[in-house]
Amino acid sequence: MAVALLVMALAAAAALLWLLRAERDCAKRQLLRSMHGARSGPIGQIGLSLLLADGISLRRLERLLSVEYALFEVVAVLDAAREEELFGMLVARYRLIRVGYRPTGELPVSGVQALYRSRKRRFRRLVLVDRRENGLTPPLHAAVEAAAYDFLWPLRPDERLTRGAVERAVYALSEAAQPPVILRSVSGLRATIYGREAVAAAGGFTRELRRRARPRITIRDPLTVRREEVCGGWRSRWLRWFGAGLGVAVLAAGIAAAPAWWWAAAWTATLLLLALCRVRIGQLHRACG
Amino acid sequence: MESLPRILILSEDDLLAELVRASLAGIGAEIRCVPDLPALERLADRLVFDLVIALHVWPFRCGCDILRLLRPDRLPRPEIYVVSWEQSEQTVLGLLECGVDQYLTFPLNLMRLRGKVIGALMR
Amino acid sequence: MMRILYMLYTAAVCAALVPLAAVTLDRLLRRRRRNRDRQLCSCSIRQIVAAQLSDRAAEVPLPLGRAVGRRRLLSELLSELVSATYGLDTAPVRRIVERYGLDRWLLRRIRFSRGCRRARYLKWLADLPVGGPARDAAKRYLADPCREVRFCALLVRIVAAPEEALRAIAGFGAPLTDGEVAEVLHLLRRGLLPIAYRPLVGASDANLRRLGLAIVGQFGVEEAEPELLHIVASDEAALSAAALRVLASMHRPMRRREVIARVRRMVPAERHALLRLLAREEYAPRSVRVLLDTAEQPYYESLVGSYKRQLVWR
Repeated sequence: MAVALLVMALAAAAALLWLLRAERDCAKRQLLRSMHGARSGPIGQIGLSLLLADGISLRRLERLLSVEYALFEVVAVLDAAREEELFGMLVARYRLIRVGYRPTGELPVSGVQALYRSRKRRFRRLVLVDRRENGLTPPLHAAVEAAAYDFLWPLRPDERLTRGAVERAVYALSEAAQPPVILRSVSGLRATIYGREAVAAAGGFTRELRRRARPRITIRDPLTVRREEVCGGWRSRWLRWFGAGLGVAVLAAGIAAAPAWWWAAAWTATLLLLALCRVRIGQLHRACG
Repeated sequence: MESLPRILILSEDDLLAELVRASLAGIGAEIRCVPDLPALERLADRLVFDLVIALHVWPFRCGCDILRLLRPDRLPRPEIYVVSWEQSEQTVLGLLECGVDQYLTFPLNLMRLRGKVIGALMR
Repeated sequence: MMRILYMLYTAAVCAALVPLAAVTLDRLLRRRRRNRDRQLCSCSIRQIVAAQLSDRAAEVPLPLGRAVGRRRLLSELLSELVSATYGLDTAPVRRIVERYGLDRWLLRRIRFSRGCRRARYLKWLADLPVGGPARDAAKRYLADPCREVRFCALLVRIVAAPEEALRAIAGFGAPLTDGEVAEVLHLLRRGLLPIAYRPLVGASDANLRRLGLAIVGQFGVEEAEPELLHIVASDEAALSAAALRVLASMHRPMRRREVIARVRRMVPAERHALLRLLAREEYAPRSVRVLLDTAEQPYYESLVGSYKRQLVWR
């Protein structure tokens, strides 16, 4: 009985703490949205290179290139021989031309055939690396070599940026007293942004770098979420219904197994609190984008 | 009877779109607002515009051929104004290079915008 | 005993549930009212802008005045409107603030909130044309433990008394972040602050110098080069690096004694970052050769080469 009470109290406390943090984070995001200075230009010359080694499509690149932060680029690594049609469409759409490529030596790279940039100024934020997959070095290394900025953000194939993610990430980076090695978001799909020199020193995007690098910034702002094209939207609906059903089943089971009415009341109140906290956190995420 | 000149405002932000629309009230033009590129494409298929005001830079940078949508062959060519928060020289040059006629920044002087639009429609 | 503990626990959870349920329900209803509120906002903007453009002296009856939560909606709307425009008559906006008591409402919200929520209300207060007493009441938040609140209170103070802006910024008590400097620059672009950079870059306070550097970089003031070189040569690493970046962004010559000396003092990571910046700003290798050591020359050439078209002979 005492253990059950303790468990319920801990669960309720954890849910309330989670909710308070989400409220605080949402308030911060809303404050940042009302600050217009950050929209007018680069913040402290902090630049971000988004790295894509997989899941490249025209639509995805369109969305990523719609980011309005000035010092931002998208570096995509593609095997032109395997994805000839996509490669041709990208070259035509973004007026890409082949430019000189010589490895900078920061990371071991292999298989790079060519580097492409746009001849049009408005598309200069896209860099395309034609690389043959040979299993010798990760494709992201080739992206790092071609990247122009000091912070690198590798994006997984199932990820997409939330609205204003780049600006919020840059804001978080600018608030640090000294440039961090890593910025980690522990909400959403747990995005990680790396300092370029740290990646070069570690020999790549290693687990060791993710776990032990200092100084680091941890934020609870969901910078990335799952792409709708990957899950088709049904997954989140299915999960929601499943969660609701599971909650009701757990509640009913607890009431049925309750030794006394005051136990059942505590159990019901705890589950209601958890459910309401979850609903409120969902509201906050929707309201704050 | 001569039809009114048509102005199209492209903006994801309702408030900014309404602000620009309100500043152009009473100049004797039909003003339409669209929130995104698919809506712009649907409207541009049906109507010809004299002036387009985009309140973002991204439609010109993402790779969608917005200029071809707005300036189809053998039809009158609307003037294109872009109003944005960005102050970067490279941004402005990139837009002018692709055919944008005017670039203005926020914070915006609504009287100045109104004057420019009236001048453009009279040309 | 266990029964009493359980009952106390249940009572505590119910006490938390009630306000939480109220807030959740309120947000749900607000979300349902969103379309209606949006339409009322649109109608209200039209009336406000028409009044500003026509110098109308008459009172503006706003459709948004009928909405639930009208003061919050009006404050947000007017803040956005004022932030996105400049050069218009503020009298209609001031009349709206007085008519709906937005300044008193904002001060109440500021008093009963904390953290970033309080900062947001202070930001709205800074944007609206409120009277002196309302601005004076916000001074106490300059000592708030939350940094965002202190900064927004600083914005209120700057807008209330632009002639004392420099003193207020110098007395902020902490180094301004780049985001905060960008926000102060926004006030400048709205015409609320003078653009004089000279007293700023030559000031003894680091925040003022930081603001001066941002103004020089934003407006490309090439005449400020001697002052920038002076900051580059100084011992303050962060400001010196920032001044160097501003010089590079303005494409000023890099073969200056101060620049060479500063680059020599940099750690390798900083040097690489500077070289990447110089490559992005299209400095030719020979114009920066004096900054590079022998190992860095091929690195810089590879960076520059990646921006040049490669002629592929077939």
